[in-house]
Amino acid sequence: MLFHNIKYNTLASVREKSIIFWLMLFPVILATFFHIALIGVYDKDILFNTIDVAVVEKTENPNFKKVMDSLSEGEDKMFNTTFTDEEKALKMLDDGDIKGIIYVDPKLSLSVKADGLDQTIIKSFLDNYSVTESVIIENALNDPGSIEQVAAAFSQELKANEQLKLSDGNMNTYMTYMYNLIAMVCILGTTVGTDIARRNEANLSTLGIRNCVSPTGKLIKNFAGLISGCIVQTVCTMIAAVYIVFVLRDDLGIPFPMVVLTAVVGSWMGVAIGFFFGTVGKFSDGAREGLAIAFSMILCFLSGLMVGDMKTIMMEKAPWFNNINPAALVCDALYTLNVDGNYDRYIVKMLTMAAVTLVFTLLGFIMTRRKKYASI
Amino acid sequence: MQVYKVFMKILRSKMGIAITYLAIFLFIGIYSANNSPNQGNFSENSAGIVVNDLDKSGASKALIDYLGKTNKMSEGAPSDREMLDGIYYNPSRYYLTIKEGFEQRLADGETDGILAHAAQDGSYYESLVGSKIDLYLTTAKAYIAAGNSAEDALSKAAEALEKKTEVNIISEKAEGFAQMEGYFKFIPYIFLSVFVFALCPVIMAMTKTDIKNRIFSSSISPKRFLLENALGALSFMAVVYLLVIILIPVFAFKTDITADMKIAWLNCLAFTVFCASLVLLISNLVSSEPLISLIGNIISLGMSFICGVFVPLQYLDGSVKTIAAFLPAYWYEILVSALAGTNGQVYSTSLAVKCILIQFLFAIALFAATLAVMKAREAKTTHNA
Amino acid sequence: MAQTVVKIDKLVKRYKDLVAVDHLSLEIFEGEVFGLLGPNGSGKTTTINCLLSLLSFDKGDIQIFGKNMSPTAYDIKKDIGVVMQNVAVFDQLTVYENIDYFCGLYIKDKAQRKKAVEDAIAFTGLEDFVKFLPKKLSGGLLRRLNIACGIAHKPKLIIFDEPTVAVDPQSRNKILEGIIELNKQGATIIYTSHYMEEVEQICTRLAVMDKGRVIAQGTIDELKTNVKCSETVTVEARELDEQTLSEVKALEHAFETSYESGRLTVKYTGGKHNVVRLLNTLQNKNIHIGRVSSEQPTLNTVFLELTGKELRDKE
Repeated sequence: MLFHNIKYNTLASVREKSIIFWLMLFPVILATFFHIALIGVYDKDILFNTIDVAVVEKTENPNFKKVMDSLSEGEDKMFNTTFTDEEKALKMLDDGDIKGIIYVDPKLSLSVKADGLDQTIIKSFLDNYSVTESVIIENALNDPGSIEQVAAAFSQELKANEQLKLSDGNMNTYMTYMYNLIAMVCILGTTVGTDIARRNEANLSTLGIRNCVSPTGKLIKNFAGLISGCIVQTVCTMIAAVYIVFVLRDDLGIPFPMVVLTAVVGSWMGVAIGFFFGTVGKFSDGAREGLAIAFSMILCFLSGLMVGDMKTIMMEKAPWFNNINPAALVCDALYTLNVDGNYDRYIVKMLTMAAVTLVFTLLGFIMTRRKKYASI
Repeated sequence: MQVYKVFMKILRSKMGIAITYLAIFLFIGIYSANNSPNQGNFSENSAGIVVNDLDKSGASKALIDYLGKTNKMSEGAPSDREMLDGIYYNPSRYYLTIKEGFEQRLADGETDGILAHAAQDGSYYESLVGSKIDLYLTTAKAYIAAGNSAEDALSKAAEALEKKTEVNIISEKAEGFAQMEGYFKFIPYIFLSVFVFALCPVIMAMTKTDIKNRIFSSSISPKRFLLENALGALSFMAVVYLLVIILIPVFAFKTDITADMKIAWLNCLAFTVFCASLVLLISNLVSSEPLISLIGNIISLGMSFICGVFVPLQYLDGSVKTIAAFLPAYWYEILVSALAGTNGQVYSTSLAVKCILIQFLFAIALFAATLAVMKAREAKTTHNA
Repeated sequence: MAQTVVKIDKLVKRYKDLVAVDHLSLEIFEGEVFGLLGPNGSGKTTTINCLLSLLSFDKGDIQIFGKNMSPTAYDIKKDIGVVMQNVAVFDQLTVYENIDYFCGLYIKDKAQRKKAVEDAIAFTGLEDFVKFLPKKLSGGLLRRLNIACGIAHKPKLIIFDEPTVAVDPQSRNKILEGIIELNKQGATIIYTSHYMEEVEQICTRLAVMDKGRVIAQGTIDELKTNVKCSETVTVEARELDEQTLSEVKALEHAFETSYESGRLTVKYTGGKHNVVRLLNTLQNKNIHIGRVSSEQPTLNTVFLELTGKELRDKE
């Protein structure tokens, strides 16, 4: 009986066009866009890359040239330097081949198109050079004997500023978009959940009437509906996760089985929330689906799916909400798995998800416990 | 004007979705416009540095003051977890711990490990702030090596570090429009969404075969029917255009109506015309509302992600940009960037003409495609009859 | 006496101030095709929903198969089949899957269920459409699927709630024949409708409802004999004078006479040979007679007499 119910509920769900689109197709499309546009941004925008510059020497400065040459060598080089005349340099700047032109005249100056990180780095380097030069000269003038010590101080490698190693995870902050995408699929499970209630409640649909007059108890039908919802949801999140990890080959920083575990628990939470909301209020089918999708999308928005900064804003302004927002829970669980060396925070997130699932399932069962309706 | 009136009535039922999209857009657009830097003078990118000063000495204070000149400073003693979250979600965050005995050890020349930091490993900001700190300490060490006391050395170092390189920004047009870039760059996403999701279902409903047959058997001519439909769509587009492109920038941002702004308006107009052609094509090709939602999402999100709406053009891969060049939103964004002087784009009149023309050409191509589709359909229905 | 299948005793259902069902009592016996006749909004569907324990009600008792009905009375529910006015099927499941699903809620044994589903498909003539999704079916076929889903488990009591609304005449006849066939196979039928022709055609006994109350019940003949008017005779006759009319009025059993644009209508409370007597009277006066017709009372006459209004508005 239970199996019979699960079978047909599942069949009905996987053939539902809106589920196929919103839970299977849409995440794959969105993940592709994220992958194309965002994942690479980390390497270009956040990680330091060699900067292309041109040097126009209006006056000779062998020292500066030496420094530039040394910085333009090796694997982790700072600059890609072209020594050229002003006209060519300006053309290169116009074409976007270089980020800035360094003039030696004899004072150092910089010409750029706009401000930005690369430009700031070039400027900061030039500041360093000028300061170093002037300090050496100043000390040499004051006390010619100290010149060696002063020069030594500048050439010594400084180990004053230790780096704290906080995590072994993938620090690509844009990966949160992928975490949020998986969270979105989980939370869109509300659409599957509302359908369960709709099918089994006589006041929500004619289908519900037919189900209610049958001798199979509501508990069994709702239970079967929930199980089938979870099966469908698990498949949907798996599609998204497999696509991200194995097709796009994005490094979530998490072992795949743990991605699966988190996504499955998250999916069930989505179904449970939808199940509860499906039992509240009377809406047309279209409106119900629209509401479920809108509700899910708002939660995802607040978790940073559309605008990444939203996550930071919520974490600072309303941490309590971030700690219970179902979309944020899934996203944060994946994040903590990635960056934390242990499971402390992950377990808290997972337990919260389990609690949310339990509460909404119970509430749903309480709501559907009523056997007769005041009106249909 | 009976057809026009009905068009507007059906459109009213789609207002919810249109207003939702507009509201979200206005929120994001205005937020990002208010947070975009004002061009013109060169400004250094600044990191958000959180300092945990355990030494509380003159030297540590001097270091903090020095860093504060180009960065946003705040104090705090965050845990490892807090630091981790901070740098993960905010790559411009830099956590600096000044250890106890900082001043003493600096004076003694034993500088190894007197500071500790947490930042995105290998990031621009790590190297930017790191090099500033290194320079400061090196300079101080140099003064100490030259025989100065630690205190003297620090103040002299601070003085020496005042030296700044002169930076010129070369660009024909930059002032004025830069702030609006954050607002204008989102237009393609919002226009595609609002127009496709609101107008396509209405046009679909109006041109459903049964309805069309009924209308054509009345006294209204097909030409007039088409005209009034077009008028309906155009008046909606005009209202959105006026509100989003002209009224909000002028009244909410109080921007001046500069030549740049007028070109931006023209740019938006070209994109709006393209949207009109797209709406027409979709509503002639597609016959179910869920399918419109699917196609609309793919087109609006797809164009936005690969044409530089959501992600600045400069971060996009060369191959992505090659594909994007076949989409009008790309040319729209090129012109917006050029007007703002960002993403390595330089404004010139010829570029503006090129970008706007290309968008119009896309529109013409789609209009032609729609006509072909309509003809093919008509041929099919008459054939069937 | 056949066994009582359904017994409703003084059922009251209120929607705020509106009394939808007002002290309604009914008894339905095994083997009957029982009609619930009434205009739209008379409380038929509400009564059915209360009967099925879908709706809560304010007062009254409901027994089915001699047991108290409740939402968890699964032993009762397993022998009931319901065919609702609106088609209640999964849009995403095929014809076969839909029937199998609903049948599965009643019959656990697989082999038995398979047989039942196939029987239902054959019964409703859906053999050629088993793999179709509902949206591919025409209106009539969809109704048949709706019926198949309701009866596949071979229930002892089948409730049809206006199953022919908005159905073409051909499909309607098929449906009605099917209901009679189900009844012949042993099922007790409750049939609600506002089409009196249908009820006259298939029901063995009926209750007439108006404003939540049963205003009459019994077999069709019983209802008809209970009405005052048992025969209406219409005669085309020109130029009747006052005297003739008063003679007609004076005829035995005649209780209402009208004469309008050459048509004389006489209503009788009973008696035999009314037509002959009337024609004789007219012939004696040498009046030229055109077409003559005599009508037995219909359910509409019954309803009209009981409520003072036609059963349904002209459609």
